Amino acid sequence: MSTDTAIPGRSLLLVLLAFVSSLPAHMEYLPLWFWVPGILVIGWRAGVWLGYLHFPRLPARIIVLTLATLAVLVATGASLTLETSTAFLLATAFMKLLELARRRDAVVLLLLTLFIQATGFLYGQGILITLNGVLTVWLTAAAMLSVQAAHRRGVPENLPVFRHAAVLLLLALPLMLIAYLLFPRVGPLWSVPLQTESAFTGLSRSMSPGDISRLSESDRLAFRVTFSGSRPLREDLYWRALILSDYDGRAWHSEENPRLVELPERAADTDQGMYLYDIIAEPHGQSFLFSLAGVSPRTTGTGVTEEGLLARTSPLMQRLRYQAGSEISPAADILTSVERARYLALPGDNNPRTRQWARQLAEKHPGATGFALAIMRYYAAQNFVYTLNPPAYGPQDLDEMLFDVRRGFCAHFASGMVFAARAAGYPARIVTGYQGGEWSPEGYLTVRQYDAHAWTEIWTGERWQRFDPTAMVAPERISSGLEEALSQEGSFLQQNLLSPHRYRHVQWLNRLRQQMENMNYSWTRWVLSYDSSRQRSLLKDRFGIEDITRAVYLLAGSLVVVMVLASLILWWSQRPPRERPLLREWRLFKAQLVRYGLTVEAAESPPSLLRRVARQWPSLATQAQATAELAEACLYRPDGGDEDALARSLRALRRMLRPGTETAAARDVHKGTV
Amino acid sequence: MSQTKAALATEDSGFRRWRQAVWQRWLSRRIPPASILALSHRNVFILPSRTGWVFAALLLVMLLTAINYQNSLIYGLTFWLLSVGLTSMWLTFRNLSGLTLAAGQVQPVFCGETLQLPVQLHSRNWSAGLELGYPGHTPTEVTVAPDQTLTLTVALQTTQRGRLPVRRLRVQSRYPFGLYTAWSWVALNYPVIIYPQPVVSPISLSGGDELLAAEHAAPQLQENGDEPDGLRDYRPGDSLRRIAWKQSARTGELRTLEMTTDTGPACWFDWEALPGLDPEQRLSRLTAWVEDAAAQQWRYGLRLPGQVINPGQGEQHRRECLKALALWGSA
Repeated sequence: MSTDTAIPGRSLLLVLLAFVSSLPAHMEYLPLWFWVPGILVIGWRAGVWLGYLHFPRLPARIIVLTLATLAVLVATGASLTLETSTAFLLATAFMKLLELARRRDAVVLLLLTLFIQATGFLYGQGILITLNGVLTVWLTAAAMLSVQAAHRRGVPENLPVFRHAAVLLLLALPLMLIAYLLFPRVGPLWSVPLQTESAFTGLSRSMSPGDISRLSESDRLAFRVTFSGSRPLREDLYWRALILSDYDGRAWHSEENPRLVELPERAADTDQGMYLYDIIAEPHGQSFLFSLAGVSPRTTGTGVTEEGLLARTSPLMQRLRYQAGSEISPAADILTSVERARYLALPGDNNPRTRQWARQLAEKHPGATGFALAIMRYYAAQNFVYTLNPPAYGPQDLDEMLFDVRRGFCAHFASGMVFAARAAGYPARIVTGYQGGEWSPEGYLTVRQYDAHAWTEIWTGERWQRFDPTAMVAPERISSGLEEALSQEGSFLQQNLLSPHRYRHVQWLNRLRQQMENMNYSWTRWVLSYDSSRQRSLLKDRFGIEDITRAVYLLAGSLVVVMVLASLILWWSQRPPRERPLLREWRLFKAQLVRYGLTVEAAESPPSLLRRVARQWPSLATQAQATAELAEACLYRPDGGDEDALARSLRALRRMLRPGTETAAARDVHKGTV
Repeated sequence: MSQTKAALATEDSGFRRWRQAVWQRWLSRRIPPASILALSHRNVFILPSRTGWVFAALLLVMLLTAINYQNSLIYGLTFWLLSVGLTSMWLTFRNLSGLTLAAGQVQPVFCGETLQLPVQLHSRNWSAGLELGYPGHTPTEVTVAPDQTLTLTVALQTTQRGRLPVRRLRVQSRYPFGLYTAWSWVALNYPVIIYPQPVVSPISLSGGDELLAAEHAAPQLQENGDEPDGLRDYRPGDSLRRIAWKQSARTGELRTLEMTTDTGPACWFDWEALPGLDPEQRLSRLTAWVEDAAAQQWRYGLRLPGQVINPGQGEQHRRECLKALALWGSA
């Protein structure tokens, strides 16, 4: 109807605001230069509004479209990934700005804005992003109202669209809550393009010595842990993620697709002697999970690999919350000959000095433990330097590191130790994961990427024993974290100027950061981690519903109840106003008169009608006269009469009028006067 | 080939006509014509608009995204928007429900002119973003506040002389978000007469002796020698030329000269004076003559088949003549 009218300035401003507010979530993965053309387009549209520019013609639009496509492909690396799709979505929306002329265009752009916001949630779900999303929805609703209501008579010039939109959105909250809790959470319906792995920061399946130090540049969250019951000491917080057992002469690799093994059913009382913890892991695009040694899974969908690591079958693309337990003192194990061979493999003949040194050391210190301790002592005694910026090593990297340069990071030290152990004939492996973390005052542990660590495990004959050479070189790394360990060098988060973690010594900034993190943690723990297993347990505990299909009935039922309630409210608010008692009596009285054959004129005044009644039915005369006087008082006396008395009187009169009441005419007939 | 097409077309239009007739019959049972009508669930219809369907498709896509990516926030956003959609259905319906429309008084117009039909609106709650209009006319947009009464006019182009047939007025609202259209077809009774469209043509007078008299009298009739018979108070509709300006200036109140010619010779406008024209054309010409004569303040009478209006003068007489012309032929 009127959808093709131009957009007034105020509505246009709101539409643009809403659109811009949906963008921040996408800044995460798009390069900064991507936004430059976007800003130009917004400027162009503003120029059109101000009258300096025109909407671009078709050739210009085609050129812009081509450029936008190129920009998307360059920015996201020209492959079908999630980033490419959402970047195309953004480019389309920016293009729409160039033809944002009529109300219909504005509506299309606003619907796009909502979808852009939704896809933004794929990249971030923190509390700030959530608040940003709420703002977007609010602005979009306000803009929609403004666009719809533009140029309407009777609508105030400055329609309070913000307040109005807020009210409408709040009205919708109860229904939303019901749907959020009860809509059955099912698994993915089909596989979808996922974020590229480079989008995630985290450990990788292979490690050359420099890799971990790159991670140390990042202050991104890795996972958060809450312990129930006892917590381990900080020195024992070795979060295992991957085991790198295969050496190719330079780098260490983990097994490609670790198989999850069936664990024997555990008795319920085995919580004794275990650490029990609850982890919310950030997505990292791989299937490994984080756990302490001696782990057993507590959440469906997670399992243990043959190497004793916690993992799941599919990559972790979304934040995951899981529980696990770890034995405080792991039990004895066995090593098959196949495994033994793998953990001894040392292909090639590089690092000859290390090989020889290891063999000599093994002769002096028999036994795996004795040998390992000897190497640890070597690391402690030889003035090794713990540094984020080690020199570039040549092909004989471990020889140089161990005997000449003596500078390195955890990965270097662990590599050296495992290499030496294997050379000496003791099965050994590198474990990567995270060490330590930051305890919050609320009692949960936050582990970040810069807590990434590599250490060794050496087979003692009956179990894998953890040895961490870094603890010898830089004890502060283990006892208080990376920042302490690098305090001499001053290289903590060197590249990351804006990271709030760099400024942990600034008291108020640190407090602010911690509070923000607390809120994010609670948000994740209580709201975002609501998934199918949590839904099932909520339905079971609160509503006693075991079957998910019954939840659907519950959802449908609640929707019906809400709709019926809304209809009742509408009906109640629109019911006819209650009739005043006097008017009701008067209406009933007149109906009675009509029933008894008296014609009632609309223009006749009540007293005159009452007098007519008195003449018509002599037996009612007294009462009718009295009523007429009351009516006159009510109608004409300046101070008004007694309306209640009049109502009562009318009712009495109505009741006196019965089928047998004699009319004046009939009486006259009786008397024979006619 | 083209014949089949044409046949199909007529068949199609026949079907359409039939469907239209069924719809109109159903509507007139559902919403009978009245001079005042309160809208409620009985007579308000509501369906998603095109924007609404697009919005629904968007929600479906968002829900699929949420399921496939197992993303709680997208679930939340989807359900929030869904419930906003459901709530706004209720709100859009409420815009019409509880609204009372009443027909106002209208002055007659000539056929071909646009009627400005007053509609009195009263609402018990907010009735936002109302659009009122007859099909084929630009709708009037208005918002009615709770317990507010306001009157607005709705345009209606007239195409036929006679009593205004009951036409259905479309009242609709898409507020707040334009996701739904709630509408009703309101049949308001306007007791208004549409005069025939005047078509100017040279006046030809007719009728026995009066004809002669008129031929002589008519040209001089207006201003000439008639002596003022007396003065009376000015009544609306009196010609400015008949106002006794001198006396009026003295007393400060308008006085009108009363003419003796009120009973003088008269002209007759006769149906038979327009041979060879079809009835509507005759009526149009007669209407133009009546208007002309009324403006010139002649005394005139009207002879229609089956109806004669004796000569007279003044606004009342004019209306009587025009009404006779408007209703001629209708029972």
